[in-house]
Amino acid sequence: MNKFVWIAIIIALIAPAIFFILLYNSLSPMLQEEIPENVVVGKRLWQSKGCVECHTLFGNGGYNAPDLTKTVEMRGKDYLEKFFAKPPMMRPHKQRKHPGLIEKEAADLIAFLAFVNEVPIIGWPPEHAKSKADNNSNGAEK
Amino acid sequence: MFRWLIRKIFGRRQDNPEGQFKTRALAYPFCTFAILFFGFQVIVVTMGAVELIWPNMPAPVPFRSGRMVHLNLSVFWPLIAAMGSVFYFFPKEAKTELNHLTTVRMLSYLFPLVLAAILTSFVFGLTEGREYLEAIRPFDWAVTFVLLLFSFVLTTTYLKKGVPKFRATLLGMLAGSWSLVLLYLPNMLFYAHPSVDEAVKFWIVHIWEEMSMELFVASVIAAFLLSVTSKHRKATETILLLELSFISVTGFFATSHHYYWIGTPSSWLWIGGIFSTLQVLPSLLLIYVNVKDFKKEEINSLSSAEKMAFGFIFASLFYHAMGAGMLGWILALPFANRYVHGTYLTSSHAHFALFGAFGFFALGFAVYILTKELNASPKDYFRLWISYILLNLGLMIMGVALAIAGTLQGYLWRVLGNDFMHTQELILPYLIIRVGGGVIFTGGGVILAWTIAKLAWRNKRKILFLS
Repeated sequence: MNKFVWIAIIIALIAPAIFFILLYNSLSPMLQEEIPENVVVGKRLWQSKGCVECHTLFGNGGYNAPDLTKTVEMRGKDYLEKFFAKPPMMRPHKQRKHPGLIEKEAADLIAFLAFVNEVPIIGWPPEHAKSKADNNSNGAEK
Repeated sequence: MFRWLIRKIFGRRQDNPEGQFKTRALAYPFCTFAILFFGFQVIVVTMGAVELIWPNMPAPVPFRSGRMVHLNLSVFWPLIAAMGSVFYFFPKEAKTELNHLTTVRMLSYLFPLVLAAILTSFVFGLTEGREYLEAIRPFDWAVTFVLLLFSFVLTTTYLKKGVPKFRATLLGMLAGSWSLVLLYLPNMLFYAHPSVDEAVKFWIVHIWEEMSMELFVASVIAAFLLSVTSKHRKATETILLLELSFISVTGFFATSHHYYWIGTPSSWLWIGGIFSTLQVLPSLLLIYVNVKDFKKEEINSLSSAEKMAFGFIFASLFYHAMGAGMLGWILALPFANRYVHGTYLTSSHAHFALFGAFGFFALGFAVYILTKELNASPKDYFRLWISYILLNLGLMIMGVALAIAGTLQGYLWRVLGNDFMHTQELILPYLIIRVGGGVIFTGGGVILAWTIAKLAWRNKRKILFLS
C-alpha cells in the first residue's frame, strides 16, 4: 500500500514539473519580448474597462460580441478610431451605445489590439467560405 | 443479503460511531453559506437572462457586472461547499479532531464575507478585467489568505500524532488544498504579453477545476462511501490512488487544450489533443470506483440523507462523463476546436462541467451534511428531491439548447463566414429555449436554497455556536 502511495506522490510531482517546463519553454520568447509602452497601457485599459465580459480575445471571453483578435486587420485602425470617438448603438439594443473612449485612450487600446493582431496564431480563426470567395474576387479584379 | 440482515439486527455503524468527532460540526456554516450563494446566483442569472429576451428593458446593473457576478459565484460557492465537506470528512479519515478551531470558525465567516465584498465591488464596476479572475488586487490577497488558512488547518491536523499518514483520502484533500494556493499566486501578477496572460489565467480557470476540485471530489466521495457502505478500505484506497495520479497528470496536461490559439507553438495541439482524450479516463474511473461492487440492498438500508447524497453523486458522475468528459473531449480535439472555439458550445460545456460535475457534487455534500446533522423532516427531503429533479431538467434543457446554438454558430460564423451579429440573430431561438431551461433550473435552485435556509434557521444555534 505504502509503495503505491509513493508512486502516486512521485507522479503528482513529476507531472506538473514537466508541464511547467514545457510551458516555460514555449512562453520564454514572449517573456523576453520587449513590449511598447502604449501597448501595455492599452492592455491595462482593456482590463480595467472589462471588455472581456462581452468580447473574446483569442476566442476566450464573453460570447455576446465579436471576437477582436483580428479586428485591426479586418476593420483597419481608422475605422476603430472613429468607432471609439462616436460609438454606435449596440445591436439589438435600441438605446444603448457601445462605451466610447477619449482620443488618447483609443490610441492605446488600438495599439494593444494591433499587438494582439500580430501574435502568431496558427490557423485560427479559420478562413471561411465567404472570405475565400472575397479573396478570389479581389484577385480577379486585380 | 447476510450482511444486510446483520445490519438490520445489530444496527448500522457499530464499529465506527458517527459524531465522535465534534469538529465536523465546523462544516455546517460553510455548507449553509455555499447553498445561500447558489440561491443568490440563480436569481441574479435569471435577471440577466431577461435582458436577452427584452434587450431594451432597463437593467439595474450593467451586463458586464452581472456576468462577473455569475462567473465568480460559479467558481467560489462550490469551493466553499468543498471546503465544508473536506472539514467534515477530514477528522474521521484522520482519526483525530481538527486543529485550530477558532481559525476554522473565522474562516467559515471570512470566506463568505470576502466573496460578498468581491461581488459588491463588481456592481461598482471594479474589475481586474481577466475572465473568471475579475477580483481586484486587495481581494486577491484576501482569497490567498483564506486558501492559506484552509491548507494550514488541514496540514497541521495531518501532522498530528496518530494520523494515518498514507491514507489516500487525506493525501488527496491535502494536495488539493495546497494546489489551490500555489496556482492562485502567479495570477496576482500583471502580464504585459497577452499570450502569457492567457496561459497563466488557465491555471485557475482549468487546473483549479480539473485538478484541485477533482482531487476533492474523488477523495470526499471515497471517504463518504467508506463511511456509509460496506466497501473495503484497502481496495477503495488503491483505486483512489490510481485515480489521484491520473488526475494530477491529466489535470495539468489537458490544460494544453486552452493553448491552441493563443500564440503558443503548434506542439500544444498534440499535447492538448492526446491528454484531453486521456482526461476522460479519470471520470470513468471515478464512476467505476462508485459502481463497483455496489449492492442494491445497501440502497434500501441507507438513511434519507444518504439516499439524497447518492442522488447528487450520481448526477455529478453522469455530467462528469457526459458534459466534462465526452462533450469536453469533442471540443478539445484541435480540428473541431478550430471551428467551435469561443462559441456557445464552450458555454454549454462550461454549464455541464462546472455545474453538472462540480456543482452537483458541492450541493450534494452540502445538502447531505446539513440534512443529516440537522435532522431534516420528510417534508424537507420531499422538497429537496423536487428541486433535484428541476435542477437536472433545467440544466439538461439549458446545456442542450446551448450546444445546438453553439454548433450552429460554429457553422454559420466560422465555416460559412456570416457576420457575428447576424449569426447571433439566427440562433436566438435556441438562446431563448436556454432561458426557459434556466427558469426551470432557477425554480429548483430557489426551492433548494429556501428549504436549506429554513432548516438552517431552525438550527441556527447549532450552526452559529456549535451547541
